[in-house]
Amino acid sequence: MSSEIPFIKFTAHAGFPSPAEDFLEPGLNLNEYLIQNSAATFCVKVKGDSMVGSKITTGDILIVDRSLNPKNQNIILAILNGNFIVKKLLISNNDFYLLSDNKYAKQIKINPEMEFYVWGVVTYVIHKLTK
Amino acid sequence: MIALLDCNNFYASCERVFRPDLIKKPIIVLSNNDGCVIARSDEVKKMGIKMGSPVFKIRDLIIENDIFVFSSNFALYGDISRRIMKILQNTVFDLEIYSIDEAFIDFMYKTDIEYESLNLVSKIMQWTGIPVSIGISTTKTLAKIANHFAKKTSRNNILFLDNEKIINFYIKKIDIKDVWGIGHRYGRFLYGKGIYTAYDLTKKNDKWILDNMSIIGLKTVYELRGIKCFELQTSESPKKNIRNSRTFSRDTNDYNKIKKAISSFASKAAEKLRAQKSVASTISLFINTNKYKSTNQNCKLTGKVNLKFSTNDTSVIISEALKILDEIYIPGFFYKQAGIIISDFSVVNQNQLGLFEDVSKKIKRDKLMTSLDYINSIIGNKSIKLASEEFENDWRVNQSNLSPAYTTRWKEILSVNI
Repeated sequence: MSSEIPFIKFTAHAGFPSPAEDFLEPGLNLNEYLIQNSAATFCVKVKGDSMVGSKITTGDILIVDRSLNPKNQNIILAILNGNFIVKKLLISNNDFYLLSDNKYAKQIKINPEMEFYVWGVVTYVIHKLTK
Repeated sequence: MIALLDCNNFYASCERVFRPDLIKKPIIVLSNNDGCVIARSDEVKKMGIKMGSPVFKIRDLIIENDIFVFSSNFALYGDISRRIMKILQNTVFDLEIYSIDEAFIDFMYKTDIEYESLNLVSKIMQWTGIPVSIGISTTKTLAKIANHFAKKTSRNNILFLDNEKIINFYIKKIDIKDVWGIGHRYGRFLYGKGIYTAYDLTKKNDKWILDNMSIIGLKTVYELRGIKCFELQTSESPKKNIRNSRTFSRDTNDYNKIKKAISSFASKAAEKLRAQKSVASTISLFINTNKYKSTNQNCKLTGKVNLKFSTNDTSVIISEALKILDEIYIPGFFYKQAGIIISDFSVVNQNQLGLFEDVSKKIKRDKLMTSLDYINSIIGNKSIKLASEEFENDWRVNQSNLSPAYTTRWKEILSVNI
């Protein structure tokens, strides 16, 4: 992911040069804030409200970092039997559970017959507030 | 020790990262315009479908075996490649990016190279989803061979050729045609001389090799014997030539269409040339007819011009290219492919002014080109172009199975139902 660094050149044709010229810094860079490891980070859009309790709703964009090893209570993007899912991961006594996060929450226990692996760990949610 | 890291079935693997439903399913990726097979998943390789097979010849196989077909999505492959190379840059001592899916690696001071390689394979798999293999040996040529077998026979995708015994074992196994730098032309010649494997070639004496295969051939043989001749080209060394070619969506006998295509290629090549701060003095052109059509004679028309003054000026390169096209074009044929190669580079400021070159005009043109590149870089590629270039992109027509640009366009990012 690239970022654009704004650059303003003060050229004083007449009048006074800007006293800020020597102190000019690039603006705030959202990539820097949201992405720790750009080689391993992907953006994913979600549809559906099964994770509303974790503040993830339809239309949101998830920042997913594949370089992080999933930990207990992480929100993960995973593959279960050939399909992408977003769930909360619970680990207890070496058992793995996937949890939806709404009032109809279902819990799935991962068993060896399932084809399951973690695609990446969700690190941020970008949620638009204005319509 | 030099390692060659190569992504396994790279384009097919990229498609699979975003399509978990296709894990273990057969996948092929087609060339621009969906002409022929340029990548195959392991399942497809086992079916005996060859690299480069034209799609129309394997249509039945595709249907019978439920093979998933993708048009080439270079926006995606390029981005995944960039990620992998970035991981390497941050991990290894030194590297040479050799192609979109291959890099030579120098581990230098690392003591346990096999362990480091295993780490690298699993890191790239986790971070990007792409499986890679690593071949390690004492020279680039041997590392290539190690990689060839790492993919085929090794359990963990790593093969380490570090002593004479094991090196001899593998160079006896590899077909001389599959040796880096030999290729099919020399391969056929060497077959005729009774040389079938890399090992056979290492047993020939230097004089015979030099007489029959040039100095590059001799260097290759030294490398097979474990003597380093090809160094890693690590710093972003400028390219020695720039090639731009494409297959038409449909064979064409329309001169204007070919002319527009050549203009666009020339313009793109000139832009790349300026980006690496070089000027070129040779322009070559080729137009090919379709060798799979019986009604057409299979011919490759080529032409070349050496410029009086080296240049990277778009309009000069276009006009010279079109002059060549005029000379080599034969009306009546249907052309399948066209392309341009520019070469004989020198660095911009080392480029001496020609004695009779108009200096003030040259400075003006340089400024114009700089502005052109600048504007195109901020408002999007190809916002400004020369009138002779094509306006609608005729190449992209046949991309019927194109996957989304998952990683580079907001509108096309992966969408998940949760």
